Order: sequence, then C-alpha cells, then structure tokens
Amino acid sequence: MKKGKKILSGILAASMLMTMTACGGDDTSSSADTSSADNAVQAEDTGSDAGAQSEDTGSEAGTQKDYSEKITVSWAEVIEGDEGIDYTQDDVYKTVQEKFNLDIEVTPLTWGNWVENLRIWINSGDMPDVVNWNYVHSEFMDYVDQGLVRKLDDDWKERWPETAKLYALTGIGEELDELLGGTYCLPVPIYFNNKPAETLTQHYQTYMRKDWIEAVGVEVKDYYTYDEFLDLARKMKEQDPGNVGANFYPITSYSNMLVSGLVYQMYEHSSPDKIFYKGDDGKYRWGGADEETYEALKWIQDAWKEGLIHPEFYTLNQGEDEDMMTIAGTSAIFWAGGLSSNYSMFANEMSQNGLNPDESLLSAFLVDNDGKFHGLETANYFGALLFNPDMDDATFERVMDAIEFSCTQEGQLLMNLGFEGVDFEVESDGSLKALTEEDPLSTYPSIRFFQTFATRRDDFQIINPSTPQQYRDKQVEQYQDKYSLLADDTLAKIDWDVVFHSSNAMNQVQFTYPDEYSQLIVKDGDLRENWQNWVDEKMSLIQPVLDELDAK
Amino acid sequence: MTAQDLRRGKKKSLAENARHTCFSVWKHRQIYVILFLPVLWYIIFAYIPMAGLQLAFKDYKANLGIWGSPWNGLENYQYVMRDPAFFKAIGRTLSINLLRLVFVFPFPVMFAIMLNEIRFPRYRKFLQTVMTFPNFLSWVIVSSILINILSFDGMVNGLLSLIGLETVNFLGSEKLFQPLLYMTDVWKSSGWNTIIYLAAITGIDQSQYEAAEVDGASRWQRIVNITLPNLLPTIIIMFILTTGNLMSAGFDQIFNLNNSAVKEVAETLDMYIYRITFQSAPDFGFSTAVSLFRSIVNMILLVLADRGSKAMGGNGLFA
Repeated sequence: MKKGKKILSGILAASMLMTMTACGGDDTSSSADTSSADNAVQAEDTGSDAGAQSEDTGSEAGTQKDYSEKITVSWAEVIEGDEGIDYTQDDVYKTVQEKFNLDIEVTPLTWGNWVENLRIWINSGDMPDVVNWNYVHSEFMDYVDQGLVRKLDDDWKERWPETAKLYALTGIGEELDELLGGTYCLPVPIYFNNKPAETLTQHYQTYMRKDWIEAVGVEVKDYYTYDEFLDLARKMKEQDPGNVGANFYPITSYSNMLVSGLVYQMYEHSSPDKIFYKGDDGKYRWGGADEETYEALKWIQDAWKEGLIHPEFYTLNQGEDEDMMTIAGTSAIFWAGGLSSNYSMFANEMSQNGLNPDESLLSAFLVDNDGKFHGLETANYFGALLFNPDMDDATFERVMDAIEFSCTQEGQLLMNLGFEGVDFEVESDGSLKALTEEDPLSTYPSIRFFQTFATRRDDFQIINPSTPQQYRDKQVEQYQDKYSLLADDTLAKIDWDVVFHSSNAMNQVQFTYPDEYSQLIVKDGDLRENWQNWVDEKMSLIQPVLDELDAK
Repeated sequence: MTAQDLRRGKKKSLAENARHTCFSVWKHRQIYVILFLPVLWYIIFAYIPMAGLQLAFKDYKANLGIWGSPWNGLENYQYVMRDPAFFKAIGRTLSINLLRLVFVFPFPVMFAIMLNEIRFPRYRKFLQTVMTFPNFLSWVIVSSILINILSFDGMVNGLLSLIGLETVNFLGSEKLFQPLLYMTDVWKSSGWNTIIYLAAITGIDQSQYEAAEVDGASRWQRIVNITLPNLLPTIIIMFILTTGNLMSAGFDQIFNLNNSAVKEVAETLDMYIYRITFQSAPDFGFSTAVSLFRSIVNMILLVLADRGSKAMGGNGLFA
C-alpha cells in the first residue's frame, strides 16, 4: 500500500513538474485568472506564480525564480495533535519542501500557551521567522511602532496575487493598510471559497449526549432556548440516564468555553470582542457594567449551585471537558468550536468507546427565550501571520511563495488532503471524493501544520471528503441557522473605531474575562454585591478608555 | 606640617593599604578562588541587569533597546497608582507573607530540635530524608498531586463522603487558599530548611549539654536553656532574610495553585507583575516600575528588620 502510494506520489510529482514547467511563462494576470475562488476544484489549476519547482524556474510577473539555494525558515503556530510528532517526514511536507527548496522548522504551540509564548518571543526579539499570532490590535500597533514586525513590500499584492485576494476577504486587511500606510501582517482568513453565511458569528456550540436527551424525554433539536436548556440539564441531573451516580454534573466545560458558551452568548457585550460599544446616547459604554452581564452571571451561578455545572469547572483544561463526555461518559454537555472536524473527532471518540455517534451525539446552540440568537459579528480572520523583521529578503520571498501556493486550490488540496489519485479524486461535478478511509492527518502529520499555514482550516472543512458529509452539513447549517435567528438588536457588529483603538489605557484593560467572570460565579457571598465591587474596581481603568473613545 | 607633607603621608598610607590588601588577598587566595564564581554569577545575573531598572522611568521600545528608549519620568508610576489591583496585591502579599512568618517559619526550627533529640541515628536519618525529599519536587508536581487529592472527587472528599460528612470545595474556596499555601509550604520546604538549623545545633559546644546533664537538667530544660539560645543567632539571620522577601516570596507556589476561582486572593505582587507583563499587552516600563517598587520595599524591610534585631540586642546582617 505504502509502496503504491509512493509510486503514485512520484507520478503525481512528475506530472506536476511538467504542469508547472508548462505554466512557467504565465504572467501575473493569468495566475489570478486560473486560481478563481469558486468552489469548483480543478487539479490543473496550478497557475500561481508560486508553483515553481526546486532548482527550476517559476514565474513572477514574467521574471524567473531561482530556488537553487536551500532556505530554512522557523515557523511557530498552534498545532492540534499529540506532542512529539515530526512534521517533516511525510510526503506532503516533502512535496512542499522540494517545491520551494524550503526547510521549515516547525515550533508547535498549544491553545494554552500560544498567546503568552509569542508575546514573549516577539517582545524579546526571539521571534521565529514566521509566527501565526493571536491578533490583538493594541499590541500589534506597539509591534509596528517598535519595528518588531516586518513591513511587506509595497508591491506585495501584485507579486503574490492569490494571497492578496484572501487578504482582501478578511475585512481587516484593507483597513489596516489605510491605517498604517502599508502591510505589516497577514490576517489569516477563515472563509474564502466556502463561506457558509452572509454574516459570520461565533461558531462555538454545545455537544450533547443525544441518547440521554431522549432518555429524559426532551425533544432533540438544533437549538434550545436558555429555559429549555436549563430544563434539560435539570432532568438529566435528576434522572441520571447514564447511571453515573452522585458525581454526575450534566454541564462540563472549562472556564473559557463555559463563559464563551453562556455569558457571551446570553449578552453579546459581555464578550471582550464587543465589550466597548456605542450606546443609544452615542457615548461609549463598557458591557461588563451592564445589568445583562450580571443577569448572565446570575443564571450560571444558579445552575452551578444547583449542581448542573461541574463544581470545579475552573480547574479543567481544554480537552478534559470533552473527554468526560466522549470518553469517560460522565458528563452530558460541553462547548467546543462548531467545526465539522470537531464533530467528526468527537464522534470517533464515542465510537471507540462503544457508542454509536449517530444515536449519541448532538450538536446544538443556544438562543434567547424569545428565540433570537445573540451574535457577535466576526471579521473573517482569526490570528495573523507576522514576519521577523530580521529575516533576509530571500527567505521572506520564499516564504511568501509558499504562502501563495497555500492560497491556491492546488495548495489547499495538497495541504489538507494529500495527493490526487492517491488520497482523493475530483468528481465530474467538481466535488471531492476520498480514495482512502485513512484520515489524512494520520497519513500525513504535516497536514496538521499546513492546514493552518496561512488560512484557517474552517473553509476547507466544508468540502473535505475525509469528514463525513453529515458533519460538514452541520457546520454550514449552524452558521445559517444562527444567521437566520439574528435580530438587529441581538447582533453586536464590528466597530472598527474600537478594534483600532490603541493606547496605554487600552493596554491596561486587556483582562482575561473568562477568569474574571468565573471568579464572580464561584465567589462566596452575594453575586450582585461582588459584581458591583468588581465593576467599581475596574472602572478606574475602564473610564480613561471610554473617555478616549468618546473623544474620537 | 605642610599640606604637601600631608598629601604625601596620605599617599603613603594609601599605598600601604593597597599592599596590605594585596597581601591579604594572596594569603587567603583559596577562599577568593572559591568566591570567584559566585561573585561572577552575582555580577552577571544580579548587578549588571540592575541597569535595566531604568525602564521604570522610560517608555520602552524594543527597537531602541533599554538605553535608547525615551525617558517618560514618572508616567509608569502614574499608571501603577491608577490600578486598584496593584494596591490590593501589595496588601495581599504582605498578609500572606506575614502569616507565613507566623505559621511556616517556626516549623524548621521545631523539626531541627525534634530531630536532634531522636536517639536512634538511623531513624533520624530516615526521617530527615523523608522530610527533605519534598523539597526536590517542583511546585508543578506538588500542585498536581494536591489537585488530585483535594478535588471534588478526590481522596479527601471521598473520605468525607464515606463517613457521611459534606464535601468541601478546597480548590475553589478563597477562605481555604491561604491555609493551603501554608500547609503545602511546610510540607515541601520545612525539611530542607531544617538542615540549616541542624547544622547550627551541631556547632553547639557539647560541654554545655554535659554540664547541664550533671546538674540534673531535664531534656526540655536543655532544649529551652541551651539549644534555643544557641540557635537564636541563626534564627535571627533567617528571620531577617525572610523579612527581606516579604514582598516577593512564593511565586512558583501561588502560580501553580492558582485558578480562576481563587484569582482574587491569589494575586500577590509577583502574580500581578506576571499578569501585567505576560498575560496582557506587554508594557515593560510599567512592569519594571512595579518590580522596582517591590525591591525598594523589600530592601527597606530588610534594613528595618536588621536594625530592629540589633536594637533588641540580637545579631544583624550588616556590621
């Protein structure tokens, strides 16, 4: 099997080589034309100027590219998966390596440490050549101001047109260009070919034990109101359909997700993304001090005191909560991102533990008791690529070529699925078909790295044939359902004035809200009094920010 | 005597002093060789970095470096003073560490005396090894063990349930957080700190004990009248050194035992500095301003403790 794959890989590589050579003389405009951003997948669509071969030539606006010099680049990003994996040994990595004569030294980060590690590295001058960084505007402005990140050449959009196309789709890219008079980062686009709804909102949702919901006599639905959700949790606690025993707490999520899934969900301006907003009087407000935030906290505290939420949710780490439901079978509900890959992963875990996921796993989201969904308008990017200012031009250009390749459909296919004819094929209607039952992530560990190379994996997940169709449909449906349930007064829109506000005062109010809210939920004493004290204490730091925003 | 004569005399005296110093250094060269590395360590890692303290009065820019960043006067301190969390952190740090002096500091002294009184050497060595071992565990490991033991479904709560008692929220209780700090500190570091006092006890002139025994003194009387008075200089030195750390001790421990439920009672000055430096948008000038403040207070406390000790007739750190 492996040998067969290698032979096929070799044939594919050879055919690609010929294709690239044939495309070698294409100019920029033809690159743009042949890499259209529609859903149709064309294996021949290799017209990007990034498609140059090692020790060969590609094209870039009619100029020859010389990849004869081996270049090594260090790259740090969050990679989900087991530790200790070598991402540089499989054929996908080797194909990219050979294509650009580029060795990539991958520094894998976790969701738990990436913000802090990158912050330290960037500020201390120890930043890898490229980092996939959690974008925080006030910090970004500091980095730009201090020369800690590289400015892209003014003509980069002409030189790397596919990257520029996706850059334009992020919403923030052009705004930043205008603000800074140039490009200092590449925001990482979430959706580009397969955007599921007109307005993107938060994608996290609940994953529940479907069989237990049915066992306690509650209807299985795509979304529940808060009252229905509370009733469901109560019934589960009372009836304990899984016979877990006294230590059964239906809702189990770690602080960050519990707060995201409930507090931010119940009141959109409690979320750090939208916590500064313009009130009806035209003055800026801080959502933390709003009564709705208190009410959301009170709702959760009551549920926690009632024993419906894990008593020590604040000690849980990411992953522990999902394991309790999908592996240990000791909880019934947790929150996670609404990606088809997540759905598929949880289903696999349940299968391995003797459960039929079709009968046991439900993904749903919460809406207000009036049926409206409270949404946070999400710009079409998550994180941004930053480049080390000390990186030499040759390395930077090679990296940009690789990024350009990742933005083409050829790159997307290779970096998410593997090789055509070996791992997948393109159907006559343009859809993709998996040729193997093996998970590409197992066959090619480097896909874990490449699938978030310069784009988020959310987009490709929708057409990824290695994920069952029902989960992919669910990913799209949840966006569409949320969008259809949004109302004007329940959608917190992006306010670029706030997003782009940068000052020392703003830096001082970058609180870790999940921790702040969790502490209020579990703190002894009267919640209203505790919350009011918290608000009063924070206001001495918040007020200068509100004054600055009002003065704009 | 003319002024010129006086200068010549002083010159002669300085030259003599220098020669005397050189002679003394050469005479004790082995000690200076041993001292060389520690002194070098201090110079490189303690004194040279002190130049970075200027950041407390600067608007730090990474591209300009520490020396090139522009001065901003007391602006960083204005930001510090605006943050109520800073003052709370000071109060909390002092409260935790003062109570640590009361509840944790005496344990190594007591253990040392108790170990000294054990007659069976093998048993004493065994106990000392058992007590010293936890010192070699990192706080990461200790806190993991503790979380497993004290969680809602851990060993302690399991036992409480078994005997029909209500379970206790150990990990999320603000009231229990400080007692947990003291208990774990005693468990982890008392055995190690005992070594210092045991060494001091070993140095006590045995003839004092022999004379007391001849005079018919009981074991308790020997402890109170011989061991403790002889230990007092060591206790005082350790007390002064601990006082000098009142504003900073215990970061590893608190960091690892911390969670969002006890965040408010766990934010000591070290944790505050850590948060403003690494967990939010970094402002190294601001962080350095807080660190400098902490160091100055620590130094004042150290000097005060030294003077206090001397005023009460005890020993001090400084001549």
